[in-house]
Amino acid sequence: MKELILGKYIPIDSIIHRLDARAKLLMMFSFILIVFFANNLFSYGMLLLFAMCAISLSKVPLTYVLKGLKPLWFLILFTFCLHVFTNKEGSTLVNFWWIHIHTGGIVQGFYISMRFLLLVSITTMLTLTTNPIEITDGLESLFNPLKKIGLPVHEMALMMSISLRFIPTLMEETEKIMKAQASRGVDFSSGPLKERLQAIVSLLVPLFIHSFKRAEDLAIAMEARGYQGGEGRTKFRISKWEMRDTISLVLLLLTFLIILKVRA
Amino acid sequence: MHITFEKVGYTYQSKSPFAFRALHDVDVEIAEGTYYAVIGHTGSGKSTFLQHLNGLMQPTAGKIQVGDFELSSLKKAKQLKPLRKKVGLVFQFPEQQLFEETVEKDICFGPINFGVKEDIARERARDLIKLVGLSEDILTKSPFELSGGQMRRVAIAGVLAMEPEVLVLDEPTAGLDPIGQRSLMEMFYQLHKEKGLTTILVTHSMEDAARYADYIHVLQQGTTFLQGKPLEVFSREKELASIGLQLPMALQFQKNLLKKLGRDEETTCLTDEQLANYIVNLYREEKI
Repeated sequence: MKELILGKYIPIDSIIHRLDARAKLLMMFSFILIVFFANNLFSYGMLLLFAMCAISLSKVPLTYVLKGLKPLWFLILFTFCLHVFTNKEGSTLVNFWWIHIHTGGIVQGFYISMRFLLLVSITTMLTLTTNPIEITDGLESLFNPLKKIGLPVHEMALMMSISLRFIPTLMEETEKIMKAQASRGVDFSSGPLKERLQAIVSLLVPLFIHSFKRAEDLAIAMEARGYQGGEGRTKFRISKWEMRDTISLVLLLLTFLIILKVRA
Repeated sequence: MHITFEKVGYTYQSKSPFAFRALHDVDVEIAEGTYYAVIGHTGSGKSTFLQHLNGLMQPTAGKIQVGDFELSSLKKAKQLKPLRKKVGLVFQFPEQQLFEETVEKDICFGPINFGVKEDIARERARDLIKLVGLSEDILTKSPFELSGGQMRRVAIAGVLAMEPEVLVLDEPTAGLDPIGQRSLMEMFYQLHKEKGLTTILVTHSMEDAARYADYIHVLQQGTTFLQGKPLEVFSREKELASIGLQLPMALQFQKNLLKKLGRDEETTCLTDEQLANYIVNLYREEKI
């Protein structure tokens, strides 16, 4: 279970890992927007090239990135089929009984699947190469201007980092309680539905109660150490915007301009 | 129940680069009715060891025999319920396992899972709540209204209600006040004697090991460091010190006393009471 969550970030050293989290976040958001501008082979090709460059520069094995796509294969296939069978544009390829397949459907289906692939692989890249804490810090600093309109940016970032911090703790506790209940004769892996439900209750109730208790303890401990919100609080990790961050953003902008040029 | 371990080992995530050997080459022989203490530091493999006793973990090397139940690295056991019914495991901080609406229901949870009739389980709950030193009217309360010490006792009653033949205790008194610690340990010992249980105690306390155990097993870095009767184990003071374990206080006191008096005798006092008697006898014989 532990590998599932923590395995998302791969702590190796690469140019992509060293990029400022804010740069990576900005790039990811803009990339998501840019993907929707692409509408022909060249523009999709440009985006794929950009994504491939990012993946190879990050030194993360391609298999890892593809693993992130695993739960989406079905969705991709489904949308592809939907387009193939419903799109009526272009010349007819197959006309048999109720199945009509047109060239437009194949092309459109391919593009949409491509779009999925690009979106997922680039967002996976972010989580694979950026420490969760850095992502949180990056988000806080990017959303900072929104404080002016009363959005509790610091508190939201704090909530996010606390949640991330307690995932492993919660996993450990789950394992321990499961073992304790198994010792009392609970069977978590088989048995009739009613017993299975009770098995889950015997796990969830203690887990919830301890989480509430821990939240209370944490709040008291933070207060005891003088925590009073984000006002005037200095940072332990200071992220620095460097030349390479600007360069990578410019590269993405160039890609965007080329796409605008070559799109149909 | 007779328990044997033969060359037992356990490796986490074997066949991966993260493989970690938590236990290796552990041989254990526990005769029925023995009070067996396991001592060692955190990370010495104690927890891994005790989770093998009721099949929560199954060995990746060697063979375990608990009564007529066999766990081996060669064949994974599927039906573990009969084993778990006979081996009651009290985890460290067992109050974490409470979840029912009332104390009574929580105590009955284990036995009912193992097929005991409800009215019999309730009867057990009534008897046990007194045994663990709480009053009967607590049975109708929610376990979450209780104090930490009371919760601990309820959780222990929940394991005892399964009427196991083997009782495995993982530091059952950690975090309690000294009087509470002593009374719980005495209760376990009484049960052990009365019902002829096989008791396995994992502890940091040399005093508890010395007072109650028939046999002591010292684990270090996942394997056996020393084992034997309490006086045998504690006679190896230097070896124990080399892994940061001390002698029980009574024994240490006797040792220092003998040294002061310049007497060359074997140390024999495992408990405070024995030490007190020993000192009284010295007075009587006017050797001091």
